[in-house]
Amino acid sequence: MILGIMPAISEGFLLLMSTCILLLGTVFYQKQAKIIPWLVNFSMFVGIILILYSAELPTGLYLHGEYAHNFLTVLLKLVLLIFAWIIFIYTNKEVESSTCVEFYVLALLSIIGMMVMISSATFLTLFLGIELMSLPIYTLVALDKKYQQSSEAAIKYFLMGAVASAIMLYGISILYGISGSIDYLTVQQTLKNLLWVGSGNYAYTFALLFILTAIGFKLALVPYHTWAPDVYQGSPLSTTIFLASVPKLAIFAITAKLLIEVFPVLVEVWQVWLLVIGIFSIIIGNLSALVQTNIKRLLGYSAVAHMGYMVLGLAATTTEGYSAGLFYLITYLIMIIGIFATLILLDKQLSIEHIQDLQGLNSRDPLLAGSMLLILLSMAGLPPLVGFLAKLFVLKALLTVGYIKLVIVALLMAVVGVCYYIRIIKVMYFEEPLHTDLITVKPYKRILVAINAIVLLLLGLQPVLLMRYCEMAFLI
Amino acid sequence: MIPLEYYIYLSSVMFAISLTGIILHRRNVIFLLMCIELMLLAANTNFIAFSESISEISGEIFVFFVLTVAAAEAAIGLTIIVLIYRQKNNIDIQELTELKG
Repeated sequence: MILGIMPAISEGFLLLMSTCILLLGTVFYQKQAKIIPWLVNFSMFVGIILILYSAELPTGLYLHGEYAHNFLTVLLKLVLLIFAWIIFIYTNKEVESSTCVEFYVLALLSIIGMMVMISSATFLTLFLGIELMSLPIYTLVALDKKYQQSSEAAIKYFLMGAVASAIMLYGISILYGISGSIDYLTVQQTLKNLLWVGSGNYAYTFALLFILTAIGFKLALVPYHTWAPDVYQGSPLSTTIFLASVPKLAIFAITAKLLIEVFPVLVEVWQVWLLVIGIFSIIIGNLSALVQTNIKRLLGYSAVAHMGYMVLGLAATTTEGYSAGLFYLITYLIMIIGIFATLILLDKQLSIEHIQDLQGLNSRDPLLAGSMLLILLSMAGLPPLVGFLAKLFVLKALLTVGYIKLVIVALLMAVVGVCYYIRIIKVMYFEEPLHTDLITVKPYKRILVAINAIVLLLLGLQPVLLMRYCEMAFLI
Repeated sequence: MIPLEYYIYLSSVMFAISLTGIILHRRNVIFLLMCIELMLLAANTNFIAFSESISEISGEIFVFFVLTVAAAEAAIGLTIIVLIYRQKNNIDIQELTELKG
């Protein structure tokens, strides 16, 4: 156990910067509005540098055993910060200027919470990380004070999220009672010993089920998915892009950590749970998305389906499956950020609500329409793009452990998924626009969206660029 | 000295009451907030009871953090409720029906 704050240096810096931004924002209310995006860009840049710097440290537990540091945590934190930075660039000047400071401060605090979750090594850091991640997001959803749907989405999200964390806390308290400790390693050892002795104590299975329920809520998997479409639809677009993307990374991190590190002895229980819930998420997510007309709601249901595929990767319980799950998640985040970014850029002129608002986008802005086309085809999982490979890796990992029927169902549902993505493409390309004026967007954002789409094509041709790191993360 | 089991019975009853409250009660949002609070307290009871019976301190430290988090959570929940009250003049959960599909 090494006493050192170095692995948490990036979190510390971001905390410092977020308080500075809060102070600046309250003291110089209107005048400093321009400097704040620059400060955010600066803090994200330095945060990434600090993470790369701390990557050199020896792996192990830090801060009295509360904080883990290994390749997986460094990789996930790096990806998290890069994606968050891209989101901040896209939302620059798109957030209403009266809530600009609040947006950045809350988002930064939420990112710190996610980083704490990713490197948690005890249940205390895990719980505090989850809360620090979720509480700012509830507020972000309600940020648009005049919009009635926004506060309705916020209260729904808040109630669901708070119940989920309370259920998880109860599970943790049972685990503490069984093992007399709150750090992952001791709990794992105790469970192993208990199972080896063959003690008929099923309390730990209950604890696992409580924790899995909470994870299901947070990832919006099927019996617990009802909040996702509502929240996606109700929150302002700059919040939706944030809550639809980066929190998934942190929750993936704790899911993988808890299941692989803490509950390896209960693998039969959680594998069945993940398989059942994953396949139902895919079925219900895709079928419900078919009938949606609101594009944000449609993306909410498609998120349920995509998380189902990701969870199926974890359910293979092999290194191949875990890395396929991580690969799926990272590529999904690239797609969802790209698609919401396009919607944000179009929102000022088209006020995006329904799919029909995108009518004839191709004749008004070929570049944005083209990028959206690539992203949507990738989400649908068509071959030259990375979405296809991500699904292929997950299903291949499942096939090698012999779940042929599940793979067939997942494939059929992927075909169903293609329908609703194609419908959006049809509206963009084959319908006449209502107005003919061109879309005006800042050039650098336009280029960023195009790069976003090209990355998908590039990764589709050379998946090894990303897959190598995903495999390294789970090698140990 | 009260045996450990009794504390566990108490906490599981508290947890069950609050969970059924959340599932069955479909009117006032404040009631739901109180149920969530009770769920956290049930977990706290567990932590303190276990910590006392195995003389290990980390459970009690956990409780401090949970109490702090519960306060923050209640603050945010009440803020959102105030926001809804300003827009609709009531906090009936049945009337929150704009998001559907």
